Amino acid sequence: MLRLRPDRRGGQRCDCGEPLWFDADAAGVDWPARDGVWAFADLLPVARPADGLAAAAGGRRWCELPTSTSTAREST
Amino acid sequence: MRTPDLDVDGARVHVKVEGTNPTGSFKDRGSAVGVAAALAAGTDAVGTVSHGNMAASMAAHAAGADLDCVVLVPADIPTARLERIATYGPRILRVDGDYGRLYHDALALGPAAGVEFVNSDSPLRVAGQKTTTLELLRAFAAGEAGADAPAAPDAVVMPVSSGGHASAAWKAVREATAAGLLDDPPRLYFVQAAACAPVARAYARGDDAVTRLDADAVGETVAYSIANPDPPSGTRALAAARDTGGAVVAVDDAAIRDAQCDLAGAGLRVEAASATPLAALRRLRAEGAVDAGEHVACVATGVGYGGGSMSVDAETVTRGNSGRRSAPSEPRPRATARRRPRSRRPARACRSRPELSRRRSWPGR
Repeated sequence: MLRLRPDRRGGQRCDCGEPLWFDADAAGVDWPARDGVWAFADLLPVARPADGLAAAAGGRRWCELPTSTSTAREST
Repeated sequence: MRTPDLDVDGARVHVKVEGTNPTGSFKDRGSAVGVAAALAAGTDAVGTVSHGNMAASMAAHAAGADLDCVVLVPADIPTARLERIATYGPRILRVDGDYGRLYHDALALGPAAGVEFVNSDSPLRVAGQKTTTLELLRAFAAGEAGADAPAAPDAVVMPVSSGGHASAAWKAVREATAAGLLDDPPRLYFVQAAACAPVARAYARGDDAVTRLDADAVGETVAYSIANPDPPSGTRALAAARDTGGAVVAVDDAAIRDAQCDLAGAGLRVEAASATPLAALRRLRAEGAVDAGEHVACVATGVGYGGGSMSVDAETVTRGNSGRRSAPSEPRPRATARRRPRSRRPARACRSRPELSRRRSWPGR
């Protein structure tokens, strides 16, 4: 599923000086059920590696920290 | 995470904590994609030009994939930072001379040397780093940001250095919008330290492009990890801010330290650069750019190297038993053993600034 620009080896920037981007076809993409870099694989230029640290980045569930009011109440 | 204690005059603050990544920063997102691409393409070596989080991240990911890694660092890199990078066993090259030019030199020389350089705004790194914003957009859309949160944040505030993460955020917003997942895209605000703020300067002047700062226009800052006088994707960050109705602002070190202390008071240890979004939000709120009731996601990009930006005021106490072997301690009377309400601020970091303790009054104190 590698979709690399053919000029990737020759340079990472456009002739105009601006950095290149990978194009991603977002049509039909839905929010994944979980977080993590590879949860968004449909929008990435390369597939998730089978193992190794590269498979681990991203993903931390959203939560709400207690307010100072509630913290004080619990501790007295 | 939603952090009610950090709300700014009615603006609802959420913090996207990136320090939980394997090497402690958002850089792991881009390194993961860079290494994955190198493996898929059969490349034996990856590299980067960095003396901070990105260097450690790239080296760690290469080590985890059994790839060689080349890291180009400035000759005067502090030992503590060098040691953190060296932990992962990359080939480290100290480079004398114009370190800023190395970014371009590496891109030119990398292919011939068989090294895939995944620098700060390389296409692979930007692709990985857009997932920071995709994740927070997904959390809001899924209702995980709280019952009173909208389907998308009203604004996202993040530090900008090279511009790679900023342009990645813009790309994420564009792709989510194109997918029909985002009806009301957030405004993107980017923050720099006032001592080194080429993007913020260009924004304030109304320039279309960012120009490199001369050495005499760059000062010291606690947010050293975003002090980049020649951001390769600065112009794209400018475009991202303007396109989304956001802005690029600069904050001084005092504001950064205050924000860092307040984040610590909420239990979040972040490096100084990661405190700039909260500092910027306070300014944006005061200027009316952000309204009360709006939900704002501040991106805390990493935990940093530890030390460096905070003054530590630790007391030394001596045990008073005069060498006598201590008897098992008796239970303390109940009245004194009861836990007191916690201070919300770490005294060792903020004790020297009494103005901080006057800003809010805490229940129970």
